[in-house]
Amino acid sequence: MPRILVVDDDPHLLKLVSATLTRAAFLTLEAQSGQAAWAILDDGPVDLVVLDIMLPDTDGWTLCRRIRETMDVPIVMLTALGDTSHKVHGLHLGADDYLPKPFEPDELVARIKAVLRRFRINAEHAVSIRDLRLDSMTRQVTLSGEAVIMPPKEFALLFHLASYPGQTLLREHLIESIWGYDFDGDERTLDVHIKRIRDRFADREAPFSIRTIRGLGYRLDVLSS
Amino acid sequence: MSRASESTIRTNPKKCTRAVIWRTVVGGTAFYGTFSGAFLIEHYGKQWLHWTLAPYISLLVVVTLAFMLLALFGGMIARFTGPKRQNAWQVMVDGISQIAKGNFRIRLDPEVLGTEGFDHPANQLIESINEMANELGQLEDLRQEFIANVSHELQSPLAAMAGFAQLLRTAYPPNGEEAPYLDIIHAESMRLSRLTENLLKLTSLESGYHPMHTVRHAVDSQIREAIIALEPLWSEKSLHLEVSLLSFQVLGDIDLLYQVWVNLLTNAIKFTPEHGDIILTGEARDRFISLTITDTGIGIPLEQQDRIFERFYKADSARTRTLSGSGLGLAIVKKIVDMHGGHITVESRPDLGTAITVHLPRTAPL
Repeated sequence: MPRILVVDDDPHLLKLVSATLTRAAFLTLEAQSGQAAWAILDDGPVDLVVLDIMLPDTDGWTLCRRIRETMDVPIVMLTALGDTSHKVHGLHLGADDYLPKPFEPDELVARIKAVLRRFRINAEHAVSIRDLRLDSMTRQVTLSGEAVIMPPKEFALLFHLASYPGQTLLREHLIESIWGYDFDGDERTLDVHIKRIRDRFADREAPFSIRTIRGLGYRLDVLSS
Repeated sequence: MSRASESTIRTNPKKCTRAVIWRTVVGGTAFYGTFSGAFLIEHYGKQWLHWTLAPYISLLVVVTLAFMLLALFGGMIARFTGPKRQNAWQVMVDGISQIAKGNFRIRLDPEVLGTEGFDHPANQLIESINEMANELGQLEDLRQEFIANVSHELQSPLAAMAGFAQLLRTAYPPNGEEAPYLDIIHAESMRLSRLTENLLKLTSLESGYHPMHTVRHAVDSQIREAIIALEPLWSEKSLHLEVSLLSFQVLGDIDLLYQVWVNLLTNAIKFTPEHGDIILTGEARDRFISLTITDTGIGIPLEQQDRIFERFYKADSARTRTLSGSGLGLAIVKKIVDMHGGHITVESRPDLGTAITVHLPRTAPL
């Protein structure tokens, strides 16, 4: 059961977040100030921190930076300010996600699960969709235990898409993360690679489908069995 | 403020006297120097050419020569000091326009400007500009902090209300007619929260003190980011999005323009029924860049099209209330577009759809 530390100065909100997370089968620890949060973090490891930006003693930004400097734990920030500049600031300081108040409890749970999932992908270097498994260390792809041979770029592309299932990824971001920032080749290269991935899994009963979102990018959808 | 005037008053008289003495010495030397030079040239020139001139003509020649030398001398000095001073003015003008744009984190350094020493008259101005930037910056920080505090104090309790109502709804499903009551509590707290956020934003924008951080940026990729951020909303309604945007560069405030796209897209998504279309197109004309968001939504009757940008105006109040809008989204959009020196046009037919076009100037906003 993942242990989650919730830091918020508003006692009702603290209760709401922990009640929501407890219902979603997480173990929660509560702190009303930066100092209390720090004491809990010193005490033992947690799997994720939900952090409010406005705290009575230290502000959330400082706490976020201190956590990032000393330990490897994902952070989801909660804030009353929905401005993009704040969002960028938070993500820049090392927060893994950012949720404006008021949030839908379901959305909070979904976001936390996504962050934990991505964190685990990073830690285990592997992502799996039903019976498809991609290992980024060995660059091995297995579908129902059977190996699928893929060239490196195709693998990187599929791995990236599979890390964000059900989420559209922009063309420019995909090109940047697979071919690098200074890629100046043909933009169609991306479409060619997507087509090759689709062809490769066309006659294999793949548990996913890659959808083209016109003018935006691609999205990997997990198919229900 | 008192700190600023105190320091200026104390240092001023001393600086002025030193400058006056320095200038008198230089001016006097130049004056006597040129006259002596002119006299010598006239004296030896006359001997060399074996001329004899009447004393009056001699005097005229000396004076004319002296003035010519003085002009030459002055011209040479100006050649060396002129560009430096002009450069300093340019930097100061840039600094002030930065402040006007809302960047208060500037500091002009006399040493960098080359105006240090000899009590350059520009130094006093530079000092006041730095002081002004500093004071304005502190005021701006206070304002930002106030807005952050107000929204925190209002949003936290609203978040608790909305959240607990929903938690009750899922954890202890009420039976029969009580069920909608919890939904109402939830929907109304969410509406109040959005209203608070938008009201704060609009107030800040309309105060006239909202800083604009204008930068040149690609507005097409910004719109794509906004579409991705809103993906949960449009994919839930199975809307078909079509984006055909070329690369457009616009000079504007990134955060504020992002707000424009988010508000317009949210509206398009909100008023378009399931499986509808939202099409984004862009066009670059000679002076403006036009971006159009077309939807196949419920549309706006002609007589209401002018009024949709008014605060709290809702085209169809009965219908919009259930959709929980704050009635401020378009007012914010209009304000931001105005601040960028642009304008908005609306084309709409009831039950067929709406096309909203934002025209932004390609050059610097006014």
